[in-house]
Amino acid sequence: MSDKNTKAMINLTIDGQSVQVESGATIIAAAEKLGIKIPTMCYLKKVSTTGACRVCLVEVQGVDAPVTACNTVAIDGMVVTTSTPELEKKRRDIIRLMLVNHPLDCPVCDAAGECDLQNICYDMHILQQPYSAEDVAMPKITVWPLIENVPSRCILCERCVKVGHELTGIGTFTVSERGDKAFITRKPDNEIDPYIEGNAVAVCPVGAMISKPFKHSSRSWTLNKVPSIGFACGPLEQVELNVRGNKLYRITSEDDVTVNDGVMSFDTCFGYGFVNSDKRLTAPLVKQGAKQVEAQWDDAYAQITAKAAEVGGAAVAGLSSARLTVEENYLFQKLFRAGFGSNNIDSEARFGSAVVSDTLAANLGLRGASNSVAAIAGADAVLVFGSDITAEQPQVNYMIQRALRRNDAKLVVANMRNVRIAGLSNCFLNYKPGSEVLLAAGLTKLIVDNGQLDSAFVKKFVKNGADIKKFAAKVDLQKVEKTSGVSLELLKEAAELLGAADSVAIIFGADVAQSVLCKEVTAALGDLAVVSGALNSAGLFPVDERANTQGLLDCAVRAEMLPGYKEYSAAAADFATAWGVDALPQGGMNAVQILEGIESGAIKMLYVAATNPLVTWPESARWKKALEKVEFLVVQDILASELTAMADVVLPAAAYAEKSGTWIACDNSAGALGKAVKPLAQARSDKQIFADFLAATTGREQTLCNEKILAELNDLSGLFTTVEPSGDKYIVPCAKAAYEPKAASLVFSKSDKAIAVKGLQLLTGKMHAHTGVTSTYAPGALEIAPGGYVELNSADAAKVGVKDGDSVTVKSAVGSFSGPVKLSPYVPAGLVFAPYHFADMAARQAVPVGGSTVAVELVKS
Amino acid sequence: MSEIVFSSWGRKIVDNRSGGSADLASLKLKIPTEYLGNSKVKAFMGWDGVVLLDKDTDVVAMAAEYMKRVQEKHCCGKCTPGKKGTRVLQDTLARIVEGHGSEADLDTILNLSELLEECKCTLCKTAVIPVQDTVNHFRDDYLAYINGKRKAPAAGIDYRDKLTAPCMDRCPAHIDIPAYIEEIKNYRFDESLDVIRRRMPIAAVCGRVCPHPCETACRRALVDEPVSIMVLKRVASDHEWMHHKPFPAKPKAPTGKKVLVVGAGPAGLTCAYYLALEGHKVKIIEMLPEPGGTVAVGIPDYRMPRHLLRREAENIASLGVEIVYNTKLGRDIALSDAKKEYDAIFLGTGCFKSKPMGVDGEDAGYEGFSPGGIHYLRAVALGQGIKTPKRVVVVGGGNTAIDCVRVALREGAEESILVYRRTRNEMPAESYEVDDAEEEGVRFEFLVNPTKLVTKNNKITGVEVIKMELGEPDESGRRRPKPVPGSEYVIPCDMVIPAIGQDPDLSYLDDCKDCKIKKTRWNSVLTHGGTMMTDDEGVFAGGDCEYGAMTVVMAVGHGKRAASVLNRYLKDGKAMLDDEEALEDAVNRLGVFNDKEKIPLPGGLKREHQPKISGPERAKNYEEIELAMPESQAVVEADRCLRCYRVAMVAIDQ
Repeated sequence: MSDKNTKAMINLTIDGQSVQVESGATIIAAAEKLGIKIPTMCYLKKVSTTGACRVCLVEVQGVDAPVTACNTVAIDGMVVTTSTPELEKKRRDIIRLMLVNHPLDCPVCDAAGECDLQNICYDMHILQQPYSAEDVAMPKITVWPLIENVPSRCILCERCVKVGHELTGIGTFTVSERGDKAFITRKPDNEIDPYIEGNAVAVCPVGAMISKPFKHSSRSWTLNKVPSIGFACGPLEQVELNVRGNKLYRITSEDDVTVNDGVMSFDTCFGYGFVNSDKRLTAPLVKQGAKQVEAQWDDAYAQITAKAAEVGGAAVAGLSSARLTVEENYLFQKLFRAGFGSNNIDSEARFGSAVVSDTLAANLGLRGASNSVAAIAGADAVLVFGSDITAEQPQVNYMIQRALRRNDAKLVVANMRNVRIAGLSNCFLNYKPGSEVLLAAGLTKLIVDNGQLDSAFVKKFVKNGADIKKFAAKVDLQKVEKTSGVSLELLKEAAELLGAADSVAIIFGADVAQSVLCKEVTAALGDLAVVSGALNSAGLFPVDERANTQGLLDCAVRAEMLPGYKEYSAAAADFATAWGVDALPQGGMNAVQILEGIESGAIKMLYVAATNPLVTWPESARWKKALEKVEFLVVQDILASELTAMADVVLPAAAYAEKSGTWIACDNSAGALGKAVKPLAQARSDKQIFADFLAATTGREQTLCNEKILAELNDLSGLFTTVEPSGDKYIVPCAKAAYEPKAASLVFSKSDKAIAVKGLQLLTGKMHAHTGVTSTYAPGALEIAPGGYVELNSADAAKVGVKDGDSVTVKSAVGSFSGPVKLSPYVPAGLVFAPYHFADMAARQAVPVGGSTVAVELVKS
Repeated sequence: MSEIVFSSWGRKIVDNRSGGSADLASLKLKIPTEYLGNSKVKAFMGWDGVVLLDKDTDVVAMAAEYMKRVQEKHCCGKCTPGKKGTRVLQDTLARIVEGHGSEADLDTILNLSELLEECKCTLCKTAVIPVQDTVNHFRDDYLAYINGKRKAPAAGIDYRDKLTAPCMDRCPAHIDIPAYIEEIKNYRFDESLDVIRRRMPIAAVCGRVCPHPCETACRRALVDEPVSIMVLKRVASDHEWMHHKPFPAKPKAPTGKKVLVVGAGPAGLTCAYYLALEGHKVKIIEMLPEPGGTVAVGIPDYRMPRHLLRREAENIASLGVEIVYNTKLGRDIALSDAKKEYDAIFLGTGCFKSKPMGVDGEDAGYEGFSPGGIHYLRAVALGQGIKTPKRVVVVGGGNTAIDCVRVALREGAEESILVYRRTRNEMPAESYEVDDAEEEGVRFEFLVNPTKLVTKNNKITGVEVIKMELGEPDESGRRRPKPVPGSEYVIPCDMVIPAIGQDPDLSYLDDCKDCKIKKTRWNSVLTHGGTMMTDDEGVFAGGDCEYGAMTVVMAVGHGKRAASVLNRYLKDGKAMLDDEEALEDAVNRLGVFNDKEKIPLPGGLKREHQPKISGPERAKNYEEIELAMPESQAVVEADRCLRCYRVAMVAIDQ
């Protein structure tokens, strides 16, 4: 049903009560409005109606037979009765049929206790059923990854089929066979980066779809549910941590009351296992000789503070992470600046997100997205540029899916690879590396040339609005076509779709953020957002795979700024005063300078918190050498790794579900992490650790109260309009002002720079099942995506002389790595893709700083 | 003795077991008595009852078999009563036939049959009707099994079943309409198109210009309004096109057989498509410079954009079909030579010779007199330099006439007048097209008939018409127009276009000495028994050249049927229908749609309409008038479908 138009209202009567609903609404929706519950087994509000179970029968006055409430549209004047002895009898008889050959294995069925069939039998007093038939159900399907399907328990409601196809856009389930044999089967999926729809388990009303990681681990009624947000999607995904006895068993999400309407990312469904990994760090470790030994926290602290004091602030550097909370990142930079006397701090955002953020701020006065992610669902046209959005931000993908199905949005996908969402696009602009700016400029030109520019908006808000037409006149479409490899015909079609739409969403991601031309591409997309009207309709959305990148940026874990994007030297005095120190350290190094500083010996102590430069950072091989060399290495993390093995001191941190705090999503919405279990063994929350150091170094007690930390941050930064927590169950700790450009404040950047690339190009990036390195400790994620690979077009493979499964070495000017070849139709000739998550492959050894793609040579190894 | 032993068909009980004389003819029951020419029909079972023709038929065993097929072959399993209920019924009936039944089982059957009223669609719901009839009227036979007095029948009987639906039956191409609509309801547009393509390769065409006879057999119309079946087909087709999706069909391994298809119209393209899928090497010759036949040059672009027609032809060519344009049978290739060169031939040569008006001066070659509507449309479509003057009169009431008046406006006519001898109500043209023409500014002159061309200097200056009045109904049921003596008057004009029908051009048969092809009395190609084969073995024909000017969908149906039979002919040397086709024709003769049916649903849901460019602005160009229906709207429309499946089964002797 279309969300688009407001509809006429109609009146009907249900069980003697009158109710008004939108025309097109079903009887069940009208009944819900009255609080009348009609029993049903298959109905799921968030997907299209199915009408499979036939339990929701109701009587309609003047109609000779009962009708199903779930899929009968209410008509003005309709008089409905939801319960009569005849209806109740029919419902019971239908449930009895449902029970024919339904196995009586409730004692070992995972759904027991949360099974709609159990409940309805109980509610309706169905104590037996009189029918018998041969049991022709298909045998249990155990070969799928992560989900087990038990056809004999299935009532064929098709919820699993629909939740995938209609909401996540990735579902691969379908109905096979006829009659009583009919069962849910799984169609072949993308074999390179396969998917399995975890939401299928969540929506299954019975125990047919079973999560393998959860299976037989816990009775549902013994689990406590603690509200939180998703570890991959953050505030865009409100969830409940299901725990018992200080252990996380699964994560669920409720329909209706959550921002995500109960639709979960793969990570939330299956990827949480890292929390329970046996590789978790359980105690502080300090180096004794060549060996790390367990130590008391105080000893570990003492070694670090002593070392920091010994080498002096200028020789201390710290790297933080978007996986840490707003409070933790605030304390991290405060610790370094006020405690250690060092402004040598940075994060991985340096290599993309920060550049995107600064560019949008400079041109459009924008930090993060211009609108709420939910607004994407209302777009008429969506452009996804340089992002495997399905993998990078599942909840953003779900909003796109909503726009496509409920709002008839047109979809344009611009990507170097044939990423999953390209398969749903109207236009797929498969551009060549280096041509991003020109491609965006080409779209801008065509929209302007088509006369689809919103002149009133431009006149009011764009400082150099007059430049737009001049710029458009200058863009050479032949050059765009030649450089990008995208046909002019297709480009025109894409421009037409974007230009004609009333409401446009532009979403861009990792390939843009990590591009050599990050600044220019971001600026060009900003221009396109102005010209296409995205900025004053659905919005412009810079997306990062990490859940709290926006919070990290807000806290300014970077040498040149202080929290709230304040210029460092200008604001340093105010912060010093507030923090009770004489002055903040001068100067400061960014990540690249820190790396050089380690190499030159200028940096003697490096403190790495919740990030792993050996795997996820560009030039990771160079980082490895540097870290081997640095005099004193502190690693604060949740999991043992190559990195922790190198450390002089290892600090075990609390994982997701073990700590509270705030994350801020790309659209500036905030959410609270729920602390559902105590930190494992001796692990402490990152917040606690930083606070302890702050107390030790400044001599002043640091509060651990999130609200107070946020308030302190806000006092200094003015980031938020409020730091009062809101929300009944899912807490929103703080809020920011909506984006509203000021008159004549926007800058049309006229960005049109292109670079010509030569030879085979390597692109590294995210797989959908993994997030950072953390997920490589999650059995669920590994089951579906066990390791790294080199994804290669068969034409390139033939040139190199490798076949599927061969080991190949990928060499660039900065480094090399080896991995197994996966022949793939999803990368074009000339492009090689490698996922970056896996420490044993470490694809980013070959990636230079500031370059998502790099020329490489492939050698069979 | 009557050929009917028992019938409950149409809920009317005729029981001749103890005397009685009602027969098929007196009941107007078009049940076949013979099956595929070599079997006798013993009984028929379906959605509306049981018909027993042979008293020795074991109705209990037949009911058991029927329910088995319903459950195992046809029931989709997507609702509880259907999935489980028919399984229980199947097993209960089987238990009885195996001699393990009890009398209580009969109650179970009747009770469950009642519960199956609540099924999601009509497949299982209607399937219990004949079974109930057997329990109610052949109880003794059941008891004989239950009491051990009868054993499962020996050989000598065989069954054939067929899934149908009123819309699917009425569609000349027999598309599985409920299936493709259900896919749309489930947002599965590619799958929907796949269903359509099993019976029709040119969904872009039939989603736009099909007269959609299916919608006249739509049960939803008995509740509120028919489902917009045609437009939903376009939605599926547009989805593929608007997403640049690759054409998915792949042909089977080459068979080495060569087939010549004459004409790249809907019949020829369809036939070529299905033959190519089977692995045969197909060559199409087409006299026009582009594909589509009358669809391309007889239907203006504002109704059927030709780039989409070309896309469909390109898809078909991608299967390995060679299409040679500007090549005409009888002119460039002789039929007798083609017969030698190819293993089989399909004639889809269309019907485009305009019928004369029967008015003096038609053949005098006056400037401003068009030889016919179809010629005028073709000349415009192909850009053959025809000049449309200021005032145009088109004679006729069919779709071609409407297309002519509307094209004339687009070609610069200031006045475009349609002259028809009956009233608007009798016009064979689609009523929405008449409305469209009116909106665009076409003038209608009803109840007048041309009597004379008015000329000056060999140039048309007007047409003399006589007023008509409607008399008694003729054989078509329409009231016959009669001239009103002395009522003649002249409509001044610069061009007269008669558009009163076409005949096939079968001149290629004239110089084929060794051809055995026979013609019908309407001068079309004669084919036999639904096989589409002519009297000349290996030469098949279909579409307008076989039937006379008819519809695109009829041509598609012919092309598909011909390809299917032709494939068997190439494999086995015999041009035979298969079971599916035999039953398709049988249920079609019987009729599946019952317009008297009362459907217990609330209704009140109007059908969804695709957006349309409004009258005055659209008449200036050839841009498509009907815009794509948004997919979310299509989903709402698809949800109106009642999925009126039903299962027929015949018992035959072996």
